[in-house]
Amino acid sequence: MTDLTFLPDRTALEAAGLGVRYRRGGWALRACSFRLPAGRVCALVGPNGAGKSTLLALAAGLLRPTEGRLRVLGGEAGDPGVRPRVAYLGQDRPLYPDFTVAETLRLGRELNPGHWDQAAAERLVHGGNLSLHARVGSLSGGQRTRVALALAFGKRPELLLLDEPMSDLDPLVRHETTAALMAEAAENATTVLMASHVLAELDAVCDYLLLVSDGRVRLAGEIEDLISAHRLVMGRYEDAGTPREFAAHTIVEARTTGRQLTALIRPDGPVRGHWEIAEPSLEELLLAHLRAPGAPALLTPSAEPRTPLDASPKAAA
Amino acid sequence: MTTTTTSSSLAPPRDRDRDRGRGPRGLAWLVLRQHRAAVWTFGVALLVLLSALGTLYLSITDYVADHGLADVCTAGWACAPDGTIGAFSDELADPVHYIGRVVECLPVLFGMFVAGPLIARELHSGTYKLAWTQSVSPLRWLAAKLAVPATAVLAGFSLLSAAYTSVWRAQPLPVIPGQWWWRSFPMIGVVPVAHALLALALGAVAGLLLKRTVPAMGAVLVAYPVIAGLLESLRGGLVGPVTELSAEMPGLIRGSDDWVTGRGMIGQGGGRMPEPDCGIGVDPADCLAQHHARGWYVDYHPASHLWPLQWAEAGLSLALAALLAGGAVWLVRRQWP
Repeated sequence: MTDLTFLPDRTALEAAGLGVRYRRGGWALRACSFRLPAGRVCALVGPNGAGKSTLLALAAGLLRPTEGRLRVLGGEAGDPGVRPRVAYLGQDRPLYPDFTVAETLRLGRELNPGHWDQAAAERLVHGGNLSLHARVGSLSGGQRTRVALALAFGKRPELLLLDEPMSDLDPLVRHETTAALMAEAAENATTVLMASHVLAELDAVCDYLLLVSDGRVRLAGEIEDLISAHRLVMGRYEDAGTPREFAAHTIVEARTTGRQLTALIRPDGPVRGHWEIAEPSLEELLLAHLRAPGAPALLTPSAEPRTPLDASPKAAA
Repeated sequence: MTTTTTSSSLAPPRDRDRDRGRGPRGLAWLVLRQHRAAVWTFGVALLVLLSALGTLYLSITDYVADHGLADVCTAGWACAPDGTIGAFSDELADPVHYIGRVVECLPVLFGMFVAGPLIARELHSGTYKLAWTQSVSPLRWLAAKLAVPATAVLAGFSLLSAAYTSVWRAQPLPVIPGQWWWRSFPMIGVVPVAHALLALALGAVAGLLLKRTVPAMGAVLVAYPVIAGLLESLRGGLVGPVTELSAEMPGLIRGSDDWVTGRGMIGQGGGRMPEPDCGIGVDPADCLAQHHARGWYVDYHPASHLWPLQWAEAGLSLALAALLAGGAVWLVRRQWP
């Protein structure tokens, strides 16, 4: 879908050695390096507590990294020049409960002088049969999400950061909203980074993937390329350990059920032996990586950061 | 996946002027809208106080004219005809003094409002993210959170303090010991305005540090009186007092014009002994001999020191306020991008 809007040279997000430490110790993110090219619709996937929300908040300029840096649309995250170009939908959908819907949209207009699209914002609100005069505090969770999305859309952002955008929408509305989102994104060449648990939802709309777990980037790149870099290998196997013919390849995960071995590998050359070989689905790819935290990270060439960490003025200081 | 159920267009960004009337814009609009109830409360309270002061002013000038207090009392203390002073105190001077107490207490209320509802509640509930992700940097957000209430303070407290000062002046002050200039000092002139700005900056720091509404308000409620007490203890020394030497022990009360800030003995070598302990019932002359002192000194501020002292204390308060506001900026810069 995004082939028309894919801008291979421009970078929406670039992390180099990015780390965020909690105030009470422990790292929410550690040593994260990746790149998200502009124009992509990227799924941000990972278990609960993996650091997805932290990463989105960093990109939105709500958090300061403890180490490393995150460049957003060519500037540092949170720079005054970057803020107007980035929109963010937080997981908790912060809104003023005593504002009406119309006043909430006015907030967007007042704070984004010159680049606010009232029509786009109202379209999203009207799609949900919401009265502009309703108090935000009286709305349901799904309706609040709609208003929050309208605020994000009204900014006409170049980068749209969505934290669990569809979690409290019913399936029909979810479908409609996803479609509206993708249409807006496609028309404006918006880069979207969307954290979600609903894999099916992501599979349909995303062309880029960022898998984060335990605060680290595990997979990053075009979904197609990531899938074609892996093979699901199945067959009869009765010995202990992993088959010798896998030694040439990177084994992400190997499981034996009875005499049946199922392995997800990154083949390096042809796979020898009597194995049934298939391309994994996105879900199989993700689950295998989540079950095997020790598997090495894989970044496709477009997801490799282009500026080395040393070039960062902050790291040098 | 490109199917759309909602039509979207490439309409250029535009502002609808429907509810864009006159009035504040941008962040100022947001801050005022967010605290609409508080704005109304402060506005109504200000109007009530101002109209009460207006009424009192008229009643006082009438009373003073009717009972000839203005002329009689130039002579000084306890000079008025019987009963008129008592009646004046009960009916007019006491209400003026109570309003003065309110003026004195308003800064701490204002600081609590800034600490709690204005800043901590937003940080606690997460609504600050709304502004910060709508193109407003944390520093600009803080600037608005300080500038809007500061404007309100400058306008509201200046008006209130000016009104109170005129009412206070209209009274026959020499006969109301409780309202001599140094006793009404924090209620009159520029000091209330400076105190309110100080409380505002203190509130901002408390809100940013504690990030919870009630603890932040509580912190201001505790910390502001401490700072106000400190300012009060420094007050007498902000401008050099006038010193008077005498052989006889001077009194601590010198009438309505002079504020005595210190008394003691002058030793043989010329050194000062502030309020030496002579024991109860000892004759001052014996006391002098006991301490081998030459005589007594008394430090006081004459009435002409009112305005120098006012400006000095206002300046000190503003310097503290600026320091705290700088602290608030530092707290924001340290924590957020």
